[in-house]
Amino acid sequence: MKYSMLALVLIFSLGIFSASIFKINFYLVYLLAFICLSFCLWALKQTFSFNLGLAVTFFFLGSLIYINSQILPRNHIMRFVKYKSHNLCALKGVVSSAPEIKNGRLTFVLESKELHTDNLAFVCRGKVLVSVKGLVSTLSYGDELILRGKLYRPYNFGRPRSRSGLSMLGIYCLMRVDSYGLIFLLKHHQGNPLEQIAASSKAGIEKIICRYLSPLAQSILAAMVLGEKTDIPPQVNYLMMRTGTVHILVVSGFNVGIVAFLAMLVLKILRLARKVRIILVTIILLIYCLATGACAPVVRATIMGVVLLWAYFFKRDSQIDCGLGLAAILILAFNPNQLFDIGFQLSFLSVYSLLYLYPLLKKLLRLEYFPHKLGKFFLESFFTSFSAWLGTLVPILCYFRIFSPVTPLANIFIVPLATLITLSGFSLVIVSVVLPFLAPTIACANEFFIHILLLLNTFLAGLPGAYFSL
Amino acid sequence: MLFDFTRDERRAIIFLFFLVLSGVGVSFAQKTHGCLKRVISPDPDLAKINLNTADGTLLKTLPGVGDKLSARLISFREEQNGFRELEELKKIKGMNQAKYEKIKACLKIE
Repeated sequence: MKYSMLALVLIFSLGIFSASIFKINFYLVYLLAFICLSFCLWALKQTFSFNLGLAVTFFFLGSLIYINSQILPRNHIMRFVKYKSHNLCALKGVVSSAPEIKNGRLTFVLESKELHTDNLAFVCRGKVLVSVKGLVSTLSYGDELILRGKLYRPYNFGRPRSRSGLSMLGIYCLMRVDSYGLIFLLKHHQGNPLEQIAASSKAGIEKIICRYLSPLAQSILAAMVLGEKTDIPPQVNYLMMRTGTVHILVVSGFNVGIVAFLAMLVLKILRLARKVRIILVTIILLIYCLATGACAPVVRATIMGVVLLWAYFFKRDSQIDCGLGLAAILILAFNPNQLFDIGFQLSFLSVYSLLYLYPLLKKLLRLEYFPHKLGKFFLESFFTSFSAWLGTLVPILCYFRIFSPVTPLANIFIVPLATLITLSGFSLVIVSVVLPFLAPTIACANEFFIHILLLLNTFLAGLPGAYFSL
Repeated sequence: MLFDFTRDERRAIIFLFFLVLSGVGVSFAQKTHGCLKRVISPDPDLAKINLNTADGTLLKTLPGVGDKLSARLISFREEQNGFRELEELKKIKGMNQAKYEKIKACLKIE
C-alpha cells in the first residue's frame, strides 16, 4: 500500500514517456486500454489480476493523454497563422496574465477569441504572447481587447512537440503591436473570478514589498513570497544555483504550508467553525496557487495541502504519499509535457527523496539513537538536506552541469534563514494591512535577514571545492 | 485568565514580537551608527558581477552579452591580466556606449 501511489505515478509517467519516444497509433492504444479495462471488470474478485489490469490501463491512459495533448483543436489560432506574416490583423481576446514591462515593451498573454485577417473573420482559441511598444499600461488581467498588429510564428517554434518554454505554457503564436494606440479596450473583468482575485492580490503584495524594501531586498522577497524571479540579479541567482540553494527563490510546499497555517490561525482567532475554516483555507490556497503562476511545485503543494485538509474535514487518516501521487497524476493529466520540465522533475524528486530516502538513511545510520540532542538535530538536518540533494543529483548534473558538494551543508544554514525571511515577508504583508505603522520596523528586520542570507551564500559559494562546473 | 491563547496563537505572537524587536534593533543601529548601514542592510555590491572572476555563463546573463561578446570579454581580461576599471570594457569589439550604459550598473571590479 505504501508504494502503490508511487507505482501508479511511475506507470503513468512511463506511458507518457513511451508515447513521446515511439510513434504510437492512437486507435490501437485506445482499443488496448478498453481491452485492459474489460479485463479488470472480469477480474473484479482477483486482487492481483485486477491490479495488473489497472496498472496496464493506467500506462495506456498516460500514452493516450500525451498523444491527445499533441493535437491542437481545429480552431486553434496556430492553424490560422503563417510562419512569417507581414500583414496586419485584428485579434479579439481576453488578457490572461498580469501585464509586465520587459525590455521597454509591455507583454502579456491573450486568450484569443476572434481573428480578422485578409477580410476574413475566424472564431478561434488558444494563447498568444502579445508584445506592445511603449511603457504605459492601464491594462489588467481579465480585460477584453481588440489588438491590431502582426501575428506570427517564428521558425521552428510553436510545434506542440517542441519543449521550449513558451510551448510548455501552451503559447504557440506571438503578436507584435507597434503602439499602445492600437489597443481597443472593450470590457473589464472578463476572466475567471478566482484568477481575477489572485491577480489583484499579487499586485497588492508586490506594491507592499516595493513600498518598504530596497530594490535588492524587494527582488529576493518577491521571489520567496510570490515566486516572481524576473528581478533577481543574475549574480545572486548564479551563486544560489552553485550552492544548490536556488530552490528557496521558488514558491514551493513550504510557502503553501505557511499560507495555510496563517489562514487557519486567523480564521481560528475569528472563532469560525472547523468545516468553514477548511473550506475558506482551500479557497485561499487556490488563490495563492494562481497568484504565484500555478507552476508545478506550487500546484503539487496545493493539491497535497488540499488533500490533507479534506482528510481532516472528513476525519480520515491523511497520507502524504497519496496526496503527492495524486498531485503528480493530476498535473500530468492536465499537461503531460510537464514530465519533461525540470521544475516538475526536481520538485517531485526532492519530495519523494524526503519521503522515502530520508527514513531509509535515518534507519541505516540509527540516527534515532544518537545520544546528544543538538548533535541529533544537526545530523537529522544534514541528512534531510542530503536526501533531497541525492535525489535530485542526476537531473541537476544533466541539465545544469553543476556538481555542488556544498549543497547539503549550505541547506542546513540557508533553509532556516529562508524560512525566517519568508515568514517575515508574509508578516510584513499582513502587518502593512492591519497595523501599517509597524510595517517599516518589520521591513528593517526583513532587510537584515536578507543581507545575512546573501552574505552567507556568497561565503559558502566561495569555499574551496564548493562546486564544480562540468 | 487575561490572555487565553492557543499554542499556535502564542507561537505567532512570539514570532511577531521577535520580528518587531529585530526591526527596532536594526532601525536603531542604522540611525545611530551610519557606518553600520553596509553591515545590516543588503549591500547592492553583493548582487553585482565581478568582472575579473565571472565565467562565460555568468557574463551571458548580462543584457546584450551573448556567446561572442562574453568570449571576447574573457580573452581581453586574460590579455590585460584583469580589468582595472569598468571603462576598459568600451575597448572590446561589440561593446558600444549604449550596451555599456545598460550593463555597468550590474558590474564591479575587485
